[in-house]
Amino acid sequence: MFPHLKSERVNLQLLQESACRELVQQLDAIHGSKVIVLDEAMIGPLGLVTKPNLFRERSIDLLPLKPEMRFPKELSNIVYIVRPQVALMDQLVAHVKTNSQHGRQFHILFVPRRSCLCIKQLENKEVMGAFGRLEELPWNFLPLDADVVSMEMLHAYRDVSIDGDTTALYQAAIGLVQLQRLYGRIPKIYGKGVQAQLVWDHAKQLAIDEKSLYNGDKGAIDQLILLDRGIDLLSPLATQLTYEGLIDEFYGIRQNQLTLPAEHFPSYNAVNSSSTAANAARAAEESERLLSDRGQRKTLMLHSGEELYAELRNKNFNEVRMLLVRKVKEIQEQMNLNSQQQSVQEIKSFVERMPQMLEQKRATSDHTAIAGLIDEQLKSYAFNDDLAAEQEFMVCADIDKSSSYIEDLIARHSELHNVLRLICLQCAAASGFKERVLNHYKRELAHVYGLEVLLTISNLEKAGLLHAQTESRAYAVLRKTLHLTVDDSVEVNPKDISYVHSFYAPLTARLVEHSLKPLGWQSLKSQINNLPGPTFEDFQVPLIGIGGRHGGGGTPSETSLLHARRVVLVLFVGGCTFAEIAALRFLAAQEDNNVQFVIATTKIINKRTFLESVMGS
Amino acid sequence: YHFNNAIDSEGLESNLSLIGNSYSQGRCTVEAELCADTARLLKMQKTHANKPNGGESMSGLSIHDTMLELLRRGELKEAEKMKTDYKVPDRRFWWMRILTLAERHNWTELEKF
Repeated sequence: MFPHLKSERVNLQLLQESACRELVQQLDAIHGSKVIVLDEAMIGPLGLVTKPNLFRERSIDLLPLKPEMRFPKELSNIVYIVRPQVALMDQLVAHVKTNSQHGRQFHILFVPRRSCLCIKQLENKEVMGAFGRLEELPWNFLPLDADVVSMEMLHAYRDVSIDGDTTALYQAAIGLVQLQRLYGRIPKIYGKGVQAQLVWDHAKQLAIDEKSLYNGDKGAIDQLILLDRGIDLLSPLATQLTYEGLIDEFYGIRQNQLTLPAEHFPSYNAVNSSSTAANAARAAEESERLLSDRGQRKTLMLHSGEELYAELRNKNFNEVRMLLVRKVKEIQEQMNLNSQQQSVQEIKSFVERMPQMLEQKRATSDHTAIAGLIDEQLKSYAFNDDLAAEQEFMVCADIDKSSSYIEDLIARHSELHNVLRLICLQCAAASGFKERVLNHYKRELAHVYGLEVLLTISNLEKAGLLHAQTESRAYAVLRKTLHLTVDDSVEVNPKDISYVHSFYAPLTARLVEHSLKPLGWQSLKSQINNLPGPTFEDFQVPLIGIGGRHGGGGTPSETSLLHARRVVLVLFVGGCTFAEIAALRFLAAQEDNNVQFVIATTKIINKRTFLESVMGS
Repeated sequence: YHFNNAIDSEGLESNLSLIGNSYSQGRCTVEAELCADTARLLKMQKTHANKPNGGESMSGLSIHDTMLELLRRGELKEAEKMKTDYKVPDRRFWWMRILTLAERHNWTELEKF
């Protein structure tokens, strides 16, 4: 169903299938005709685990959730799939009041968990009677790609650090246990950071209740690394320079889907219908059209199922340009062969290759269009100036003074979001501002953007993005010890992960890289002491002796571990960027690392979404 | 110092001193100072609004925007007074001057810099 999720060792299709099964079970338990109403935040995730035709087979309609809704008379069941948010409950209450009639039942499927607050809210509004089933769909990690799972919780970092709501961490822990249930016990665990530690503590607690985890064989995943967003706040704020990262920053990729104005793709209608993979895209488009009334927009599916995108996504943009040129040439050559075919045999083989070639051509034309759009954006002065300022901070140039570039931006009343991003970036690189500098920025910001900006600033302070200087200069030290910035960076055919930001290697990815080395984590420990939060490690060995049962099978597989590719699950608590994913994929592609990554995150973030979620009050 | 944020969003003039107080209690001197500044600013904006040539009201604008507005109206003296009152750095002030002059195509004035 989702071919792009398949992979050798950790087959994430299992995850998708189990999620889909749960949904089907819930739906089949409800008798009679039904309609599904989706919370805005659930439309994308649902597309990740199911195909529209699943619903068509059962003749179920999908509708987006709106405050005012009227349902046709003949429907006897209305099923809501929602996030457990109290605000949404009020909408449901309104629906029930306007639409209730004899024999009609309402059902709610909470994703990923039922919340007492929501149910209390329903009780208070005295509509509980109208609801039949209140169930949960335990979708914690949703498969995005063959090596990426995401919880699709954008506000995870904000919830924990600003609002003090640790639900997201608990969810992540449940997700970890789920993953272990599917893929077996993870023997080795490393982690860094407060939130990461909390996740692991929860997960351990949950696993104790479930003894089978300990008794089973070592699973497909050999190692777990939990990283807290809080240890590396610089990477999410920096501009990503990989193809995928740039697309995300400019246009936003939502659950693998990219939506762009169709005008940029002149020929897509004609080419689309002839290709096979486009069917997937079209199915997605259909569901999109079902659920929203976008006008002339084109939705592209972006995942490694598409050959060309898999090749391009993780490259530095400068390399993407070259690759696209080469692809276009290749296609031209292949097409030109046509005119000088000699034998019938050759023509035959050519015709056989036609669909494949057309597919390639379509993909290339799509991506040249996207690349063209990005290229335009990259040429703007503002982008390059911002980037230059960023890179100066990264190499710690003049980091303790207030930056005149930022001052100019403020004076020109440019976008608050970007200004704050640069300030936070400087703060992260300098490991905190001097009191005087911080106050200077605050004063300037309040002068220009009004007093309300103080609220935003206090949010940033709580999130640890802005703070006064601390004793240790973690970034400056680590920059040297871990080579976070590389002098002679190569963007084309890179040898080091730093290419994802042109010359800066995301700290998180670097940590993972070092931990792969023999005794890597031990030697890292002392180096990352400066970073906030505890460093921890743990082992889940098969428990021997409980009830006389043996774990069994543990040791032999442990020895063969040296030869087989290790599978490492990296969990980013609080989100990760496409650049970081690209960096990890790059590491996995290096022969001598002999490793394969599965990346788990609360949400894929970029400089914009991350800061916005923290800024908003 | 968390709860004073809640009051802040009201953004009413009468609340400003309250917010300022709670900020200074929470030892956030800059924030407190800024609140006091804003209170003064609102007063000043009112006196401007009462002037015959006041034009559209400036209330609700930030310090920066108020100064820009003044410069646009050609009230350089007022703006300069504000600059010293609210400790606006030179750099930003020159930005304002340049931008407003350019806006009004006052190239001769610009030449003088």
